[in-house]
Amino acid sequence: MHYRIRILASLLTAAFCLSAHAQTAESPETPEIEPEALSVLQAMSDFLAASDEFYYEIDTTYDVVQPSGVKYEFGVARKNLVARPDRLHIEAIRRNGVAGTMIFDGKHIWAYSKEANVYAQTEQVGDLVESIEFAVSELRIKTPLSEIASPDLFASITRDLETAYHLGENVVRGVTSDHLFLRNDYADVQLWVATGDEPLLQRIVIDYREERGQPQFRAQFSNWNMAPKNTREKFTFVPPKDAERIRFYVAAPPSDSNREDAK
Amino acid sequence: MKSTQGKVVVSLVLASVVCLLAVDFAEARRGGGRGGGHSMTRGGPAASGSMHRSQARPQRSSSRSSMSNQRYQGSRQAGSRDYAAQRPEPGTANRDNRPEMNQDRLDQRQDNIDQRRDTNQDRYDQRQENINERQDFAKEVHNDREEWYEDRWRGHSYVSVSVWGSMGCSYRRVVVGGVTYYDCNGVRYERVYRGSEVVYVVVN
Repeated sequence: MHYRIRILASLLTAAFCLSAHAQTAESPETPEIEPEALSVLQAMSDFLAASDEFYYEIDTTYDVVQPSGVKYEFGVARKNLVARPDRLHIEAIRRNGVAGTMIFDGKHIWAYSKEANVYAQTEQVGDLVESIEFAVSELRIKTPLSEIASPDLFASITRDLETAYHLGENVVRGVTSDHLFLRNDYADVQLWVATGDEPLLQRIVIDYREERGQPQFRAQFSNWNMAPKNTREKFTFVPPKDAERIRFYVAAPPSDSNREDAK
Repeated sequence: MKSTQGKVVVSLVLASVVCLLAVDFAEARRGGGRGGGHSMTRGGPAASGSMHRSQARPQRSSSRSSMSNQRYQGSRQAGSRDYAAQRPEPGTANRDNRPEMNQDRLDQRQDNIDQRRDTNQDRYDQRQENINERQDFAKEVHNDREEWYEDRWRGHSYVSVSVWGSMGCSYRRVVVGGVTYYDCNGVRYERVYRGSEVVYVVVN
């Protein structure tokens, strides 16, 4: 009798360990790039590339994995006005009510907080792609989905692409859309692109499978305008008289010695 | 009997704890355990909303990454050509099924299948190796960069605007070299843009 119970206990323990291990293992995907998926991406990229100026709104939410492993959701609503080659206007408001404006006027990058009545300014070098890269990497400013401002969105999206599936047609908030799944070396991405003459992005979900806790980013697109009017004033920032100028807290780029240390 | 059952229960509980600790340890090894210093973390990779890792990589990484990509694409294309050359002519499968097919042809066909299978496996292994190599290097560079930035950023204490307002200190404004500082309870702060957020960062 004792012997049977011991065997049963061992089996239960083994089953528990195996199930725990299975929960932490990654499920493999078969890498494959479907031409239908690429053609949807190409059509979307071509359509966006045909307009030098466009406007869209995104309602973004994202998971933040806490040190305990619990995930909290945060959200930011953004209004984006893009004018290639080098201008950008973003108005963002977080769920906690904190709002901010970011302007790339072609010569300077401006950040303005109406609530705190402060602004910061730094030099803008290069086109939108380079400027955004600088803002993200050096100023640590979050500009989600900034790839959309790229003149070659297709190249940007398909960089390091390993898998691309066309999953069929879905209706997203009343818009019939092609549902795509993409996988690159870092993230899994689902896109919903409107079918028809205006193949515009309707929704995107990004799973950061390589990151701890596998957090997710989600964005719902709305109010696309491919011919916005009276945009010039949006790219001109005049600081309010009583606003205080403050600095960007910039971490200097690593020196050669830092790089050697990091090896 | 009761004593035996009790021992079994205790054993199961202990084994479960060991398994859970092992899983946690595995999680930690995969890069977990970062953070702390605040009651709630508000940032992270998903906040970036980017489909790729940050491209702000040291020069050595971009050049190597580029070479790695070229090698990867080159081998893949070369593999496709090899595969096409070895593919049987259309219709051969039907002809091979005829009753008069002799043993030599059957053996030859099997050899071709085996060879093609081996070639496919080799190509798959090579591609997987290239992918793994590329991913490992990208991760290494990304982690180096992120750790460096995190160290810099966490090196300075700061408080958000809302926390600053709740501190209730009667601060003193000091302008040094055109920069405004705020002295509060013996600590000097500067109001700055830290990323997309206005904060008060400790400067002394």
